[in-house]
Amino acid sequence: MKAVDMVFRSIVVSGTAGLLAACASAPPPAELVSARTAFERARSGEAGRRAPADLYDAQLALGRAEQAYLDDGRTDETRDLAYVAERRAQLAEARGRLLAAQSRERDARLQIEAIEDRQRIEAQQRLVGAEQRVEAERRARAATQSELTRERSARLDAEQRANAALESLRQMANVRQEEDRTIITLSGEVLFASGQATLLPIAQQRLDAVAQSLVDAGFESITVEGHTDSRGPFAQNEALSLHRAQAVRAYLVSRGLPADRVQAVGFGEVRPVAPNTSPEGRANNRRVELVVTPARGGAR
Amino acid sequence: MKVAIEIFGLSGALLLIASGCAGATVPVARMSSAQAAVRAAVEVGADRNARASLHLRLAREQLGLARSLARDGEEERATSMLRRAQMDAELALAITRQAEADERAANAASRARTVRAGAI
Repeated sequence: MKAVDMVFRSIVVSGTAGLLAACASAPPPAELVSARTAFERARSGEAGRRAPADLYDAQLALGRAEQAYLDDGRTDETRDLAYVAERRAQLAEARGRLLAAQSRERDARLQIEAIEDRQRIEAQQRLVGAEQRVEAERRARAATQSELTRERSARLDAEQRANAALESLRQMANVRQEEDRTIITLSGEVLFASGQATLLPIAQQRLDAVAQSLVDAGFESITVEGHTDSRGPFAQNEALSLHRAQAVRAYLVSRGLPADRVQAVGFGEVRPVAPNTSPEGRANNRRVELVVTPARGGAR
Repeated sequence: MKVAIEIFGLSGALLLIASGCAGATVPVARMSSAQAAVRAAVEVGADRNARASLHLRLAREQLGLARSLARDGEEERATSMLRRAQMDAELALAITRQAEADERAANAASRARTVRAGAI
């Protein structure tokens, strides 16, 4: 069997060799040259990368055309096979380009989706941020409003306290306003025994109420001024007025007024408010005055 | 086995040549297949694409030529002409589809550029 194979093979090979020899001098037909060129172009282009099956078909077709050329030379069949081979190569090329275009389209769409997704997320984040800012501003406005309301209420309370304190003072003493100072006049008859600088018990009750009113109203400073009538020696009157002012100061401080903002001064008989010629006038001159400088910026 | 096939192919070819293809006819299936390929190319719009329409025209001419050759008894040439027509029709269709895909890809790329520009 093997020997028979060998014989037939030698016949085929010698026959093919004879045909090759016959064709070797004839140039390939234009169709075959075009088919070779088309195949090379397809192989090195997108078909080589993306359409291997089509390229393989083209290769087979070109192989058949080449074989026909080798076997038969420039025959119609060779030309037809070369024509088909060229078209196969062009077909592979077109399909490779089709797949490349589809790939480009897919990539572009993915890019668009990614950008649109990012834009959606960013827009959502901006919206959330804006909502948070609006909410924060609303809270801040509410807090400011609340603070303003509290301050207004506190101011109103302080004013009411100050007014009430002043009203209370008016009921127990002569109160008058001189420029920005409030002057509270307490009669010496009520506070001290004649010629004495010791507070009477009733004076203490009245001073308790005055001290409370002053604390409620608030003040910057108080000067306690002592005054006498003109009876008796001048120096004695001066000393008595100072001692009485000091006694009132000491009592007010003992009731909670700050010592560093309350001072005592004795004027003696030099600042009468009425003539010393009548008992009523002298009684009016014997007095203690509290000169109150109000707290800066209102009550405290 | 391979050697046997080669011998068979060679013998077949020799027999065909000896007989001069007398009595052979253009296969109906091949004719139908080529005509169907032309119709498919027309349906996808090969007429509207310059390159594709060229191959479509070649396919139609070759179909006509194949019919004429068949009438003249040139069945073998007619069959070859049908092969050519089939390939040109298929190529016309492939070129049309490729052009459409190119256009779609270009549109998508253009839109991507627009979206990118808008995102900056």
